[in-house]
Amino acid sequence: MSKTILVPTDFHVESLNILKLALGSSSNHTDKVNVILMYSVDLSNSFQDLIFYSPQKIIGSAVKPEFQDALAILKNRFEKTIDALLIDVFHGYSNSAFINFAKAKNVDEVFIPKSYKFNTSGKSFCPVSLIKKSGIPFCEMDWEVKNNVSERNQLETLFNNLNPAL
Amino acid sequence: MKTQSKIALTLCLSNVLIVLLFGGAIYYLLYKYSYTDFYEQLEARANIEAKYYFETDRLNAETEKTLKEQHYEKLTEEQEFVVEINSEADLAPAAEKHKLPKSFFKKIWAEGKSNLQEGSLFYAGIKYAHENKTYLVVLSANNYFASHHLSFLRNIIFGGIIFTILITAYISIYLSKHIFDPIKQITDEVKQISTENIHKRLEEKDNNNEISELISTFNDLLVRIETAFETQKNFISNASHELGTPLTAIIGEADVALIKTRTQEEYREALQNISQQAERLDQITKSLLFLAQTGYEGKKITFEIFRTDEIIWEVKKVIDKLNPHNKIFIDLALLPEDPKKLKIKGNKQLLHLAIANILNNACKYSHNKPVSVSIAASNNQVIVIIKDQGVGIPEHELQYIYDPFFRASNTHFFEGYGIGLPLARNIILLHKGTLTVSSAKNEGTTVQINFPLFHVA
Repeated sequence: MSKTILVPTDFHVESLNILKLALGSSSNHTDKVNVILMYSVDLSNSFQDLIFYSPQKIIGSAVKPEFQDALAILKNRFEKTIDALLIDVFHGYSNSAFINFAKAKNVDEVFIPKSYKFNTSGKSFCPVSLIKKSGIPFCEMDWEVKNNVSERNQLETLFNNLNPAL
Repeated sequence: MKTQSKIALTLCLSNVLIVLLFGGAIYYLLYKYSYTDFYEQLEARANIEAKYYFETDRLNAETEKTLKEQHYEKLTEEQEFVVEINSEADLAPAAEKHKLPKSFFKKIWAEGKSNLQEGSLFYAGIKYAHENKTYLVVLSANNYFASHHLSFLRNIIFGGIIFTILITAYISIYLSKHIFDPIKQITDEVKQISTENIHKRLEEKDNNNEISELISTFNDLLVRIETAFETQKNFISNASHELGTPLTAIIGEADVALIKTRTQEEYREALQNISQQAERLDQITKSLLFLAQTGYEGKKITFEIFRTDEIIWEVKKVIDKLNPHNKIFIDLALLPEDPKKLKIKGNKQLLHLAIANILNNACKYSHNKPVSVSIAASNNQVIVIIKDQGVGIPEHELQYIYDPFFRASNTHFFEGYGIGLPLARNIILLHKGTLTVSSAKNEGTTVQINFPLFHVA
């Protein structure tokens, strides 16, 4: 039986640590996992933008090559665990909007960062508080967060842990 | 011929040609038209003349004449005559009488009408039948328009053409000179740059045209040349210093040993020191040779296919032997599940050398603090990230780290001679990979190596 997990992202390499840790915790089971990467962004007010609305275009303009590389690395790492990986856009401000979104996608579990702060440049916003209020079971992931925002998109942020045992 | 004069000449010639064609066409067409028009006019007059001559009854003759004089403008030297012709035989005497060629009369007789030009006089003749008799009515006049207006037009056109040619010549020369002004300026400026003042740059213009593009291209080129120059200069001074130090030590040691007779023990010690320094010298020259060999790609290198993690484990084994205190930790957290995604194509010995160099540096400059080596693979490349917690590289010195013999300012307490990293980079470039070094002083250095993935079919 496969389960569906929802992981919010801001399309910075460092935010993929949530996915890495989430998959790491569930890769022990034999279950397949459907991953939904959720990009939260405000819907445009301009009617011209709404006429030509396309989630693909929103995602395409926000994704950087480094992020794609990092995602490919994770896909290769958890090749057997990941059943499908989908990037989706979430617009909405209210609790129920998020609950509806999660329901529509059949989300079983949500993973959110603990100390990592989402980069909310442009029209994207941080969905963490919405997720916490929604009542859907969530799991907080924590790692050593880089302070320097400019470094967040470097590939090495995905390899951030020196083994403390040594 | 200079491009400048070529442009001026082409511009001038093409303009002259167009003006000549234009003027010539106007003159020729108007000339043609004025003739046809004049003959038609003459013919029409001949017809009227004939009508007047033969058909008006005498009562109206006076009125008719007044009308004619009032309404028809007399042509210059207009003359008319009517000849009665009864048979072809009458043509020759009539022609003789009016001093006109016989062929003209014959043509009127045969075709009903004809035209003729004799000097400035124009003739038009028609055949006219009246009361069973045949007459030839001939009208002659001077074509005032052709002889005066056309020649005036010709003068205007000639004058105009000469005037246009002069203006065109002036404009083309002026333009061709000034089009090349900025280029000439660039040439002059670049000429002034030599090895002494290679730091000099061309003055950049704000506008975004081809010239400013050329200028910035030149400036980029100069930057690269200057860097190469600096590298070359540094290399020579560093190389002679590095090679000179062990040599000085050897000479000094030998000289001291030779001052007086020594015990066997002292000689042994001196020779040992000499041998040590000679070995160091040997190592430097060997790695220099390696650097030179990997620097150009012409050399044949055998490539094989192997797994990236394999070579990293091998390197770790070797380093473990040489430096048992190292804390290299190989991080497999992001290792792809499919081993095919780790295959790369390369020369094992060379890559071994490159990775060993980087790992040794990581251990050495961090006093054997933990060093992590992570391996990961995306869909088209294998990524190796080596992180240490060493002294780091000062930010402003990062750009020089690939210069042979360059050593960062905070590395004086470590042994080494600055060939390892350039050598590693040459090897990785040889494998079409990339080497990225990022570092912060006293925080550590991160080296990221990307290799193109070898796709197993």
